[in-house]
Amino acid sequence: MTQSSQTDSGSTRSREQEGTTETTAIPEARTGASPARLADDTSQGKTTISASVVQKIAGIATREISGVYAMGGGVSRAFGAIRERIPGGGSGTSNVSGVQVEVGEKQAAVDLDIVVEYGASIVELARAVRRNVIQGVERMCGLEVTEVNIAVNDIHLPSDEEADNGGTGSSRVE
Amino acid sequence: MTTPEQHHENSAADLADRVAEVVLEHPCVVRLHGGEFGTISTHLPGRTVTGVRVGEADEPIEVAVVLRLRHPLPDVVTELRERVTTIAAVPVDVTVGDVVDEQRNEPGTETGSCS
Repeated sequence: MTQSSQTDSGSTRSREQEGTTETTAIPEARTGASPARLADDTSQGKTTISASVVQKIAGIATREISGVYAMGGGVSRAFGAIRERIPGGGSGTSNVSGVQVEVGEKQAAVDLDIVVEYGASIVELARAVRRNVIQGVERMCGLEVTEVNIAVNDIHLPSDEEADNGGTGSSRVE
Repeated sequence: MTTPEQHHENSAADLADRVAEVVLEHPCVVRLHGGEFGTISTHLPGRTVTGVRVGEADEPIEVAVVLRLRHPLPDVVTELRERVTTIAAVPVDVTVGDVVDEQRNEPGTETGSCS
């Protein structure tokens, strides 16, 4: 039953259990929302990796690729701001700066929102990002990455930067 | 190195403190972490050891940590588990609550290095 607690209600349900049942350990720490159990677990104990860990690693792996100008898009930023205020909203699936992850027991799925630089082949870039994210998460977390969905939200032109720099100096009105 | 009988007689406080100590000695560990909802902690008279949960005799010890992002996490977790097992011969559940990336100068990463 705690297996299904991928939703926000998992937090309250698990807390109730903690108080009432004779379960020896904290339920949500084992089968609850975000933690991933690694495949090589033995009787020596379990390993759980938080969704925020996977998210951070995926974010770093994405930014490493040259041609990625920034991460996040208008929509994901707006929803991220809301989600941060929801208790438990950051545990099962978390979203900061254009990275959303879902972490299961042995697998993880990653959704990315990126802004690319003008001049980069977007298809090639996406392929490189995907490769690096999969490699990073699988190597660092020991989780199998089932999918990496990449949304290219915007393209950054060099002239944007010049316009920004020039625009701030002289205001149209005094 | 103590047998389960011995560490059962030891106070939970003693065990929790020693577990926290050996875990923090690992170069890849930045700090202990409360786990999800901050539930991984040992409540003691007058204080709380956050990041270590010591159960009854044969229950697993739970440890939650924030790690430096240098080495594959499963390897580090295995090393941590070995360290804790030298104190108490029970299963050790390890949670990686967060990571910090030293190359990007995230807070809390000024000291130590992970070799």
